[in-house]
Amino acid sequence: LNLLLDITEENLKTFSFFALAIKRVSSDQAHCALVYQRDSGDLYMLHLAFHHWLINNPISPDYQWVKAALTLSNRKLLAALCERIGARRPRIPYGFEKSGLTFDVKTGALSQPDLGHGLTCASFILAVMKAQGINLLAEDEWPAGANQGWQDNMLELMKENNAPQDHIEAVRKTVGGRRFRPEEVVGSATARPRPVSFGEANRLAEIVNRELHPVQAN
Amino acid sequence: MTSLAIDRNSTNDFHGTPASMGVNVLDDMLLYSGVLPSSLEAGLVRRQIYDCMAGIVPTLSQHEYHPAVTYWDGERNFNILFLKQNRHSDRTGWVDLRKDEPLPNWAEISMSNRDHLSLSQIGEVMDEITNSLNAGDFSGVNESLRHIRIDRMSIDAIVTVARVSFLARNDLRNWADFVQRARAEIIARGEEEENLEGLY
Repeated sequence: LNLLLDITEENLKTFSFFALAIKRVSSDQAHCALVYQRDSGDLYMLHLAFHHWLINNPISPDYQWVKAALTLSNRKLLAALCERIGARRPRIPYGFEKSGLTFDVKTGALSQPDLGHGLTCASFILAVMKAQGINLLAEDEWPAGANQGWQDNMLELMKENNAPQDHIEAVRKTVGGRRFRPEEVVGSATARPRPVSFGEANRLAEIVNRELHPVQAN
Repeated sequence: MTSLAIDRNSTNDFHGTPASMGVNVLDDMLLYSGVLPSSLEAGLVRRQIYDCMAGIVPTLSQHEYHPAVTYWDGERNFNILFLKQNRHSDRTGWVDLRKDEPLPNWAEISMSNRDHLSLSQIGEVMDEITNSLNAGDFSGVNESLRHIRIDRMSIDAIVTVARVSFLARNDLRNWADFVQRARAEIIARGEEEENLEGLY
C-alpha cells in the first residue's frame, strides 16, 4: 500500500478535513503543503512558497498527498486554523530558525519574529501544528549543521528573489541550524506515536522519496 | 440529556426582531436549564440553534418559529420547556409541559455529547475563546474552564476549547486542570486519548 496518494477524485473521497501534500520540484528537492477543507467544503492548499510568499489556492493535481494520522477532532481544528491563516495571508519570512514564530488562532496572524527568524515550507507545517499543541517531530533529535550546503543555496535564492539584505544577513547567521526536510514532515504525518523520532522520520522520508513522481516537465 | 427544539409552525407572538429574539429567548431558556448564557457551552448551543433555524426556516419572521428546550427528566419522561409569552416575562411566564413523546412539528436538535461540530461551529468556539483572551479577559476564560460541563460536551468541543486556549495556558491557571478533566472524560467515553496529544 502506498503512502502517497495521487490527487484524484477517487482518492479524495477518503479525504477528511486536513492532510499534507508534497511534490518534487527538482531531482533533489521537494516542496510540501497543507491541504484542508474550508467551511464551504472546498479543498485548498496552504503552503509557504518562499520569502513573504504564502499561497492559499484550490487543491492542485500536481501534488501527491498523505492522510494525516490525527484524530477527527484534531483534523477539523487544524482545518479551521488553516482557513484563518489562508484568509489572513500573513507575511511569513523565509528562514531556518523558527523559534518565536507562532500563529494567532483567532486571526491567523503570525507573531512578530526576530530579524532572521523564519520558516521553510516544511517548518511552516510544523508551526501550524504547534500552534494547536501538536508536536509532529522530536525536533531536538535533528542534527545541526547537516544541511549547510542546502541552506547556502537557499540564501543565494533569497538574494536572487530580492529578499531584503538585512534579512538575508540575519538568516546567514542561522546557517548550520536544524533542517526539517519536506519528505520527513510529510512522511511523519502518517506516523504514530508523535513526536516522531529522527530515525523514523528518515525511514518514512525514504518511502516518500521512492513514491514521489518525477519532476513534471512544463 | 438536554436537547433543543424548534416548532416549525408556531404562531406564538414574540417581540423583537427574529435574531435578537432568538438570542434573548434562548438565553432565558439556557439559564432555566442550568446553562450560563455567557458560558462556552451556551455558545455551542446557540450555534446549533441558528444552524437548525437556517436549515428549516430559511426566511424567518418573528411569528414563524418557537424555540424550546426538551429534556429527559429523572423518571425518563420527555419534557418540553418553552417560554409562554416573551423574554420580559418573569419565571412565572415559563410553562413546563410534560409530554410522553415530542410533537411532530418540533424539529429536535440533539445536544448529545456524542455529536460532532461543523467547521463553522468550531470557528464559533474559537472566536468565543480568543475574543476573551485577546481582550485580556483571562479570569473569564479561567472561570469557564473551571465550571464548564465537560460531560455535556462533544469531543470536538472539548478538543477545540483545550487547544484554542493552549497558547495562553501560562496565563490560565485552570487550563491544566481542564485538560486533565477532559482527558478523564475522553477515557471514560472510550474515545482516543490522542485527541489531547501534546497537551499534558
